[in-house]
Amino acid sequence: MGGRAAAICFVLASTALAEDQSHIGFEPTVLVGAGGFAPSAFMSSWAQGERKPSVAIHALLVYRVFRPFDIGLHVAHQWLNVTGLPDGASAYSSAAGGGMIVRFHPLSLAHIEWIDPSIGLGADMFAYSRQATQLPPDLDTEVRSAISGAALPLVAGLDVMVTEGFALSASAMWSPWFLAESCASQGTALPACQATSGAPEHYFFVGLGLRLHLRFVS
Amino acid sequence: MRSAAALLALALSLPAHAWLLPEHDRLAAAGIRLLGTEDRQLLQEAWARGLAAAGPRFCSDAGQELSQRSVPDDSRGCAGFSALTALAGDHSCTPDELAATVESAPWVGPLLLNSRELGDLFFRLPADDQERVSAWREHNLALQQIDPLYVARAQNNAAHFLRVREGESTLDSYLQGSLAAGGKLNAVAIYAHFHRVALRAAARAAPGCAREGEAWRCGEAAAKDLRRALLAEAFAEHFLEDSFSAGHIVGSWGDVGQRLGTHDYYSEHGLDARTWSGEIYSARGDAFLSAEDERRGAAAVAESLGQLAAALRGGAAEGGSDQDLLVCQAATTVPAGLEPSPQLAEVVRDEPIPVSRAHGAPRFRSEVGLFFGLSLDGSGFALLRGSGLGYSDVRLRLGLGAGLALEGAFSRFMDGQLFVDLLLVASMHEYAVARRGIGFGVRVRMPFVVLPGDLLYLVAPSAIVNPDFAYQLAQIAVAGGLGRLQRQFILRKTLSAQWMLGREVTASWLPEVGWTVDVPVFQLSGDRLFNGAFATETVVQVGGTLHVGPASLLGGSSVLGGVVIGVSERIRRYTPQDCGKDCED
Repeated sequence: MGGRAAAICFVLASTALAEDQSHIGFEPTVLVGAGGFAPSAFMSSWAQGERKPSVAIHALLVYRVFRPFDIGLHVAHQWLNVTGLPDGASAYSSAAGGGMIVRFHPLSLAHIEWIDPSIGLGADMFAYSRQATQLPPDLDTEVRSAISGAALPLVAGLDVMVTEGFALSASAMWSPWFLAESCASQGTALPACQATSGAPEHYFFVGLGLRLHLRFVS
Repeated sequence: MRSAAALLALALSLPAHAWLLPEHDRLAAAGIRLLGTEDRQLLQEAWARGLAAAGPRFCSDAGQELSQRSVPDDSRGCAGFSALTALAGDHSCTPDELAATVESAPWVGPLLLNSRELGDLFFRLPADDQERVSAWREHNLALQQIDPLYVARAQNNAAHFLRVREGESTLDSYLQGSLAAGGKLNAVAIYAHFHRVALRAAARAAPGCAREGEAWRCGEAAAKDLRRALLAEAFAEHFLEDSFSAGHIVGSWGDVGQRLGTHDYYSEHGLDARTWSGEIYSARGDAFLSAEDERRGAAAVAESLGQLAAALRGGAAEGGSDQDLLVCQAATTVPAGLEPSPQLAEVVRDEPIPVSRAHGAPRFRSEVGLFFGLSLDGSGFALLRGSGLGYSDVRLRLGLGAGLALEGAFSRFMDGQLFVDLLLVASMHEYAVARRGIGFGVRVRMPFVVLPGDLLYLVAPSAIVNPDFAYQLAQIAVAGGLGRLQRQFILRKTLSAQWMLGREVTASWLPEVGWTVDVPVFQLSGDRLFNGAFATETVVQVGGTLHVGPASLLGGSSVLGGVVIGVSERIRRYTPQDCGKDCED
């Protein structure tokens, strides 16, 4: 049974890889949605206040190497909503990351095109979050805090073709964040940084967007 | 410097190739099958007396193709007439050398076996299958390993091409120009010369042979003439067959990059061709022989062999010189005494009309020569500390550099780039913690034979003493190193994968952060676009990285290792190449 399934998969993969060139090319995707970090002791402590989920933009620029596979770049910017600050204080907090991603499109093996689910794994070699906290007017100073590390996003996507080369896209992401460093500075002082390790933090995102399929002359 | 120049000159002097050996064999064998029964019997009798009697290296059947039967292994192979047409020109410079090659060259067995195996694969594949390109590359490299003089013989490869038209509009005027004494050697002139040598030898042999019952009997002198006739005809037909390759009807001029690129482009993609007899068809070329190419080439071969058979019956032959032409030497010119004739026109009239220089087909270029490079890449690394993350970063790098590409000099899909890039590095940490994020770096790429960098300390010095040996080493390096362990795997038309540990290293430095040395291990490269002056390609690399920096940054350690992944767009702008007379000829 297993052998038969493997043979069917092999045949499907062979036909997918032997495709014409029309499915090969760049595919940029822009997604807008909501995201944030799962609550944890560390995430509550590295800067003042609590950072709640907010709006995020994720962008993918992948190259469809074969019909069922793509590989490319992933960048993200996440706004965070800071609450729980002392009276009179305000803060701006965000997170961002960038790296590479590889995705698998299973229905492409069966040459189904109108709907294109995918799963993928990325490596955001640089992922950071920072916060600038304006302390109350009587203190008249700003505290800047940042944490940085790397993330391994797991992505599930669903693209629905609207017209040739254009699709509506939905995506969900869960990503463990491995922290390497945390820094802080106050006023005009240079940041003081220290190595930081421990269990990974967890980032999540869900969003909707658009995907294009670009082809260039060859 | 001298060694590098010698190696460079040798590498860049390798011109385009021709129909592959199994393609020549197939064309000629198909031509023999088209012969009438009597002509074929006559050819077989001549073969039996003139060549097969010389030993087992010649098959007993003149029409024997490369097959499991004729070449069961590399020590028991034999060549039929069709294989002789394949061995002519590319693996021998004269008919006598062709005979010597078959009879005594130790490499002819392995060569025939390699070609038979290539043919077994090739003729099962569609013309546009990328496995053909892969097999073509492997065969090309194998030829250079098997036949030690293959590269040296190819120095006058332009002789395998049709002369471009200089305004001639009739076959007669074109033949006049191609056969003009003292002119540059070309495929028509070489065919005409050796075909006439063959016809004269056959005519001389005819009176010395008589039918006794079912068999022929020939005197010693007649047998020698038969041998001469068959070898000269096989030699001639190699060039006749080359005349049907799309890569050989578009002319061979320009620098080496243009000559290689134009030849390879039309061989693969084909060309709408019109024959002197007025027919139109799509011609393809070396490594992409189509059924139509085979049909038309075989018809010309059959016509030529028919004329040989007529001469064997005692027909009159035209006069002229019987002297051999050294077709591999660039100094050899068209001999005196060749003129257009109805016999020649009858064979050539179904050849494609070559392009004209003024209004010919567009030229293409192969990636060969010196270039200036521009690269833009993003790479991310993660340094590991114990079981956790020590440090990570994403960097953008802008590179400017120069290098040498040898891709097309050996074959295609080779790792033939040597370059040095100076890098401007921007770290994403600038945004996170206001750490200074601009630094510098250098990237070096170089293929190697055994150990990284040995192109500099092994191959280049060897070029002073023995350029041919250095060429062989350079070819091994470009082909993937010893054992081909790091060769490129062709995944698709413009996509290849490669293990590449030791071929490239990038070192970058940032203030407050230190040195990072990236060593890619695996590479995926594709989407290459090459317009003749610019080349671009996208490269994805995965590898290891070593970081040396302040312990305070790296959690108490000053050295950490990790993984790096990167994607880059690399652009190469080629500089003009000195091509001497070839720019015009």
